[in-house]
Amino acid sequence: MRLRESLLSRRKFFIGSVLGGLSMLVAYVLNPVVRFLFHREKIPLPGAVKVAMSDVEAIAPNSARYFEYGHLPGILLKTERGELRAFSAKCTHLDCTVQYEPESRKFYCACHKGYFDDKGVNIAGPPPSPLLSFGMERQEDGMIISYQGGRKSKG
Amino acid sequence: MNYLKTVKPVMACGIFFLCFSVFKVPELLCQEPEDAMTIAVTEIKEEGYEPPAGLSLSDVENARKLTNKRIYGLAVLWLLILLVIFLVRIQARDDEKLYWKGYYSGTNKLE
Amino acid sequence: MIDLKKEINERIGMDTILGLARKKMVPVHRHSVWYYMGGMLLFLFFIQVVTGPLLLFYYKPSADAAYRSITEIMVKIPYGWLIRSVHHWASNLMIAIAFIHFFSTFLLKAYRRPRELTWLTGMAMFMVVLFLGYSGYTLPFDERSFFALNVGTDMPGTMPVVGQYVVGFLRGGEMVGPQTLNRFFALHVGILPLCLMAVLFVHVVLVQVHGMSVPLSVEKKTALKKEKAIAKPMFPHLLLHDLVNCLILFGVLVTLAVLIPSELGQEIDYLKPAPEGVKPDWFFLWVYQILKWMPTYLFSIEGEIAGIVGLMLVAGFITLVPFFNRKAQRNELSPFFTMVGVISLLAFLALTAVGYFL
Repeated sequence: MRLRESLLSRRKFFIGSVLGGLSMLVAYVLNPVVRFLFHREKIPLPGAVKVAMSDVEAIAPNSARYFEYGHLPGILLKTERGELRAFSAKCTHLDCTVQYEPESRKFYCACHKGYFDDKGVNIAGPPPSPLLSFGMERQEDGMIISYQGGRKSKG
Repeated sequence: MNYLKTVKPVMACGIFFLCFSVFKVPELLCQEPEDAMTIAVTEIKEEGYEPPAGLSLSDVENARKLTNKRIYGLAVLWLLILLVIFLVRIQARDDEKLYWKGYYSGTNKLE
Repeated sequence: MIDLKKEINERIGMDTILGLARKKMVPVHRHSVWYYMGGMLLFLFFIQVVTGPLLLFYYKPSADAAYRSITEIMVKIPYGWLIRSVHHWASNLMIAIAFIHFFSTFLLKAYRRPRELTWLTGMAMFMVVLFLGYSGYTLPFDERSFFALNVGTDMPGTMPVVGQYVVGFLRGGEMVGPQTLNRFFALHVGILPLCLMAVLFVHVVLVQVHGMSVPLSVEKKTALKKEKAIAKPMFPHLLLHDLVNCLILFGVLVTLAVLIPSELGQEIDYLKPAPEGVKPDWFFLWVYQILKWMPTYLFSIEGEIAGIVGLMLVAGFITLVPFFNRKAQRNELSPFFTMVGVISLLAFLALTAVGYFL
């Protein structure tokens, strides 16, 4: 069956085409705005950082020091036996910076009470995964700490 | 003095929060920083790493230059603008016609 | 199915608003074209309100970072050059159209009873817009900004009594320095836009309350012919016309921004002499030209002081013109004020041209 007249009124057609044209224009104009807003600064992390041996030796056993890995906070732990471990200090839960508690020998995140043991493994609270551990290499004059050599420490 | 009835609890709340803030603040400020929590490091640059060059005025002048892409973008913009104007004109003409016939456009109802 | 139209109407009373809009009529006559300026200004203000905060995503308002951040916006950030240039050109167009709006209102005596308050709010906005334009120039903190800051913040110092306080307030110290930038930043992105928005709201509401003013000459003519004045509904007839205007304006704006992107001068060097031919923005050229022509002494008053005080008196007279023009208040033609308007318009154009080309 063929209808005698269009179901679409003339007005609706006009209004629809005006709105359609306008939205095309708006979309075209928004493109540069969105590109402008979503620009991302690329700040590369350093390949590795070096800590002087004298500084390493100055750390008391069972304590930790923060270090700058580019714009990433790192934490260098010296265990009671003198073993050195380096982790990213960013909690794996919501990116707060963790601190070392010598009494309990745990890393503690104050934001949501998350705990990691001295190997960086998440043991209590909300953190979903272990702290990212950095690669370490002993040289004559210092320790080389590198992100690339790092891995997620295993439980 | 009826309004005091409402003012009083509000004032009480205010004073309560004031006291609370006064007692709370020193407690927070009293935390002394622990000594020497950080350790100095030197960055080792990767091979072939070049620090990003600073931007100069000539870069700005380059960025201001008219390129084919910009002309093309401008042309598309004008095309879209003219299209919308064309469509708007059609509707406006229809509105006009209806209006002089005694209809209010948009509703098709008699005024 | 949910009737969205009905649901919305129930909550915000769309019908009432539409009913009001439907009743609003705009007179149509040979001077109608000046009615469009307000809509265009509103549109340009909207453009500024959008592009300004966009620039704030990357602009760093401190003396040591501002210039570099503008360089980055121009070079590194995708379409940064375009956004900045659109902001720049929109401000220029806004000031140009504000001048047209101002002169047309003045010449058609649209300020007469009962629209005095609309005129006063308009004048207030005019001043704010000029100051916004000026303060915007200072933010890149390049060479031009530096001299604009020095000259611009020096001038109010010649005002009697309050001058030195104003200078101190604007500079944040004895001299133009790093601290001045932060003051102008606060003014440009915070205080002035807020003031403008508040006054704009009053202005627009007043225009809706009073309706469009019909020029006396047109009123007289229709009265003589005893015919009903022609009027069209604002919505949708004139609104569609406004839309077309704004679309063309937008096209012109982007074209200007692409063909002549805004510039960036040399970085500030406090020890460098002023470059040859350093001039204020075009909208202040007339002031600049008047001050340049002022003799050192005018009737034993220092020329600069005489100039500034004279300009302030003129500004005061123009602002209060609805109260001076008694004839217009009685709905009589006032050719004297038309002459004043025409002469000021010609003087403004001539001084700007002289300032620009000489």
